[in-house]
Amino acid sequence: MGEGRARIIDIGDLSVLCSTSRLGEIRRKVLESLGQGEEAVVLTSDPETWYSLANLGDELGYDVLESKKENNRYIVRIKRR
Amino acid sequence: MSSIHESPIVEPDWLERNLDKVKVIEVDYDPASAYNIGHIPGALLIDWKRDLNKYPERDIIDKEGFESLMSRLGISNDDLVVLYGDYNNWFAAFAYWVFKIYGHDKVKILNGGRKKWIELGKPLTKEVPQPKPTSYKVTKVDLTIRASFLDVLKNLRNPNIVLVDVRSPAEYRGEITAPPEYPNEAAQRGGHIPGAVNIPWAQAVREDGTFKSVEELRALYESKGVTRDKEVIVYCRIGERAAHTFFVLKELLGYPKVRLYDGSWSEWGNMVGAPIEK
Repeated sequence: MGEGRARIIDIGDLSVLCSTSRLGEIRRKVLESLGQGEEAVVLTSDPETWYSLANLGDELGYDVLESKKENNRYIVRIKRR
Repeated sequence: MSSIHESPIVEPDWLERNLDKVKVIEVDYDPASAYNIGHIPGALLIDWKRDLNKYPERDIIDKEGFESLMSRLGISNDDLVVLYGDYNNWFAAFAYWVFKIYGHDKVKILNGGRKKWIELGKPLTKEVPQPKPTSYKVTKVDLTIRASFLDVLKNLRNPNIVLVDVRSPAEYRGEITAPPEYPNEAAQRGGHIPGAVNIPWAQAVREDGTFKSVEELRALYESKGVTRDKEVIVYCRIGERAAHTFFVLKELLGYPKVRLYDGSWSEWGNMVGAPIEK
């Protein structure tokens, strides 16, 4: 799935954060480290964080290429617009 | 908890099979990062800040407010309501407590809340239902499950009453006045109400957010002196985490006298002259 080219980012558990803080953390930890068109594989152990990552792409400016659970880890592969 | 009618909780599998038989309500502190991006099919929304609080009084909604909310959501007095939500069901538990105050006894909580539902891969939708309004009427009000500042103050050191502080140990010890992720709702002073025991709410749940067994819960609370022969008053910072523990003690363990001090530390920690311990 092209992970060799993508940056791997463990974003942790954001479920305790309010939406403003949650969006801010995704921007800070993920998007600010990506250039336009660059891909990342974002990892989390928390299902709510995973669901947010998989559904906030339009708001934050990235495309979700893949979203799955594997070995008790939640994985979202994204591409910054 | 032998049958669905007796248990105060429902499991995700049961709810998925019975979505057409109950009214499901997601109770969120923050719908923008929860209900709005996906909720259980057919679920209605209660926005905790907007719908359950009365402004500018800083109080829970009154009887008329509850009637208006239920009517707007299309809830009838005899509907079985299932509540769930973000933040490990904290605000769903708060709503449960408000439902009980206003006499709606056919109410249950989804075990594990939003987190468990997602973890299990259950369906979610962004489609918002348009309920047909009802004319809901409150027929009884039970304020015996609510404690005020004065209720707590006059019972400090009362051996028949145990105060349970469900915040984190750092908050209890006064090292911080709010969890770091909630910097705007702090009190001016740190510490805890004199005599309160610290049993963080999270000790009542497993890693996936579901409740521990009754046996585990009983052992947890009894080991800290919180026994069913005493009256229990629970508090936290704004009442939401304490509502979770209220639900555990009152509904899962069946303690007869449990009250939520919803003013909690955001009131006590700011109140001039209120005694504190660290």
